[in-house]
Amino acid sequence: MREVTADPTDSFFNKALQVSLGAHVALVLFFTVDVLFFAEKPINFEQAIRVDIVGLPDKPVTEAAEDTAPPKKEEVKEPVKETVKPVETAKKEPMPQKPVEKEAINLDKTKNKQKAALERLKQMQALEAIENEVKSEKKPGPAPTQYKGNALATGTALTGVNKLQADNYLSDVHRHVKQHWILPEYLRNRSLQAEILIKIDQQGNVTSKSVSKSSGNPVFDEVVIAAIEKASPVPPPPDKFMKIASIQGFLFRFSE
Amino acid sequence: MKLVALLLTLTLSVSVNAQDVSSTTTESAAGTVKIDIDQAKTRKSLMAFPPLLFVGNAATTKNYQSLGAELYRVIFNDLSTSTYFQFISQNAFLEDTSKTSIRPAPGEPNGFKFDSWKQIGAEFLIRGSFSAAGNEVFLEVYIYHVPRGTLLLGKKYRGELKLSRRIAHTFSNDVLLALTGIRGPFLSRIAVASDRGAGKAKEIYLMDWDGANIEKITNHKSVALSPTWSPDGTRVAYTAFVQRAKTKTRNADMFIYEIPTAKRWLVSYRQGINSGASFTPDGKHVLLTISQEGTPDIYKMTPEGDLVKRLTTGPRGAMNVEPMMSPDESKIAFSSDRSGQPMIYVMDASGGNPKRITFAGKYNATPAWSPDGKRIAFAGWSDDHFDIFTMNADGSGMVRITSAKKPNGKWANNEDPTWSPDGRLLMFTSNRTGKSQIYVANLDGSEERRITSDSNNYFKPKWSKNLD
Repeated sequence: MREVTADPTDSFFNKALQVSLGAHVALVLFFTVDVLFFAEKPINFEQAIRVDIVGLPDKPVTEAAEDTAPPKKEEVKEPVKETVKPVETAKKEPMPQKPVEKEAINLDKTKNKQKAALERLKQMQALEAIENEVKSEKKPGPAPTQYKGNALATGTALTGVNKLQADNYLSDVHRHVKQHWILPEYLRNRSLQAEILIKIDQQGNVTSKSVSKSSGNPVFDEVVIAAIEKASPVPPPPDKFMKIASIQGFLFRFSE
Repeated sequence: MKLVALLLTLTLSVSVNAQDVSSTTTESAAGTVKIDIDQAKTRKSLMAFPPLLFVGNAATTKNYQSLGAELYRVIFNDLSTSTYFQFISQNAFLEDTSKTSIRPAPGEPNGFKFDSWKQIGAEFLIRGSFSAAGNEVFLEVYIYHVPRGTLLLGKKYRGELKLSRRIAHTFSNDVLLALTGIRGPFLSRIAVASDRGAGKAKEIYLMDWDGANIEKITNHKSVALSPTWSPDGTRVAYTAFVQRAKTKTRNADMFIYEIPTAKRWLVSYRQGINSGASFTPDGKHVLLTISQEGTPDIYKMTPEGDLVKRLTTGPRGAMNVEPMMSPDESKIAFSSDRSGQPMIYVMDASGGNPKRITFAGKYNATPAWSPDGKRIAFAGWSDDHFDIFTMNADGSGMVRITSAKKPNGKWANNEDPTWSPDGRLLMFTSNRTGKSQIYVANLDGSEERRITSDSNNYFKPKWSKNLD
């Protein structure tokens, strides 16, 4: 490539360079001034027509087809009773401590001991696995993905940590009990409502329940009681809430 | 800017959450914490329904088995369609119901035991017996609430043998009344156009809601269509292509047929179409489409044929068809192609203030108000076929009811929705079998049931009000 600036006598090139530079500067200046001082006119949308292409909705998926299958004889003969006991945290055995041997090293003996210890460790692991399994079974099903937004967002701190903790706990209980609130179809659309006072212990077990305001329909009241029984144990209350939970109790109002 | 927006949404969500918590959990003055549990999920109730016992004289009663089976089938079909019950298979029963009484022990020698029904989880038990003598049938039925061990309803029915289905439907209605406080819809009937007669003619037929007791009420030997019930169930209006004596041309004229008297009269026979009739809820007027002015428009007239008012005019030559007045008589739903494609519109009962309420899809027709006036069912064209949809009366909350394929894998058409008198079921026609047959489905589209099972075609069924 030929070096363009090497020859100062090339006046034509110099002139062209100056003209080009001037033109560019003028162009940049023009647009800068235009943008800075002459605001662009907004595009007029008034004449435009907005067109939404909307599809018709899909058919909702229902599980009714499965529901209508007649129950098998074996299954219904003995209705499965749900245990209301909480998962008892099985006592964990202390980790086997390495025996401190003061005697002279007996290789065979040590090997045997090691083997036994390993064996025990394996057993404990198996036990723990079973425990975990039971725990996960006892857990209520996955919470519905769309709750009505009553999971309080952390960080509002409107009335202190205690209140926040209590509200959080109550919305947990609310969500938990709601999962078990299942009404026979024929009792719907009758504006039935019942209030039931429940007290719970430290583990969340319902220790007492009493209908404080009947719906007037005995079957509805029974369904409400059954819902509470199924919901027990509820999430265990935080310590500061223990007194209210176990002595005053919570008043649940069940409605359709 | 982004930060500000984020902050805004944050505060917004916080305030919404705080509100929700306060609405579900409140602390009263006494310090008791209240928690509201609402929006219950629902389930069906387990029902045990053993065969009906025959308590007559087997030697003198012909075909008592088939009579018992028919009574049983009608009740079973009614109650399973009601959406309230799930029936326990008879294989699961612990009691031999042919050997126990239909009344409970103790108190009844050889009575049944509530325990044997409790054990299989039954919530309700129906026990019944029947007999027949001469031209009469007797039915004695009880429905018990098993967990409480109480009798909910016990009735004895007696009637002519040919009315045995009617007796069974009456019991089904009584059960629903006792349980829900609302009478069942099982004594209602269907008016429908069909080609089931000889030849290509389409005539109007009436049948029970479950397709039984079909009877023909027209004999025009041409095409009769669009039947509709008067609110009291005594009259059916319809349109038939009948030949004019002078000009020898066929015209779509509207008739009314009175069922108890078998009288029939011409209501509207203006040049062009006189069709798509529906009665106003008070039964005093008929809304229909007349095209005498060149374009199809909606008119109001008396059942005797006097024109009262023209309710729509165009615009610009658009058609306005399929009018139906809302149950509270304040609005009229109809379909019109004034926007280019046929869509559902709602206007005042006097004809003014038309408002388009469907914007989705390409073609929406045959609006039908639910009995409570809250929702409108219609047929909508999507993906090259019709399906049934429902929506709120303002067009919001649209739900698809049907979606079915033909045996050849192509989409079937589902058309002409009509509501059950209690508003809990939707009836429609579908060509999923290749023929246009009548089906019933729940309001969420579940549990579709076929009502007609033959190789004929049925068009535009209309479900009557309760006729008991």
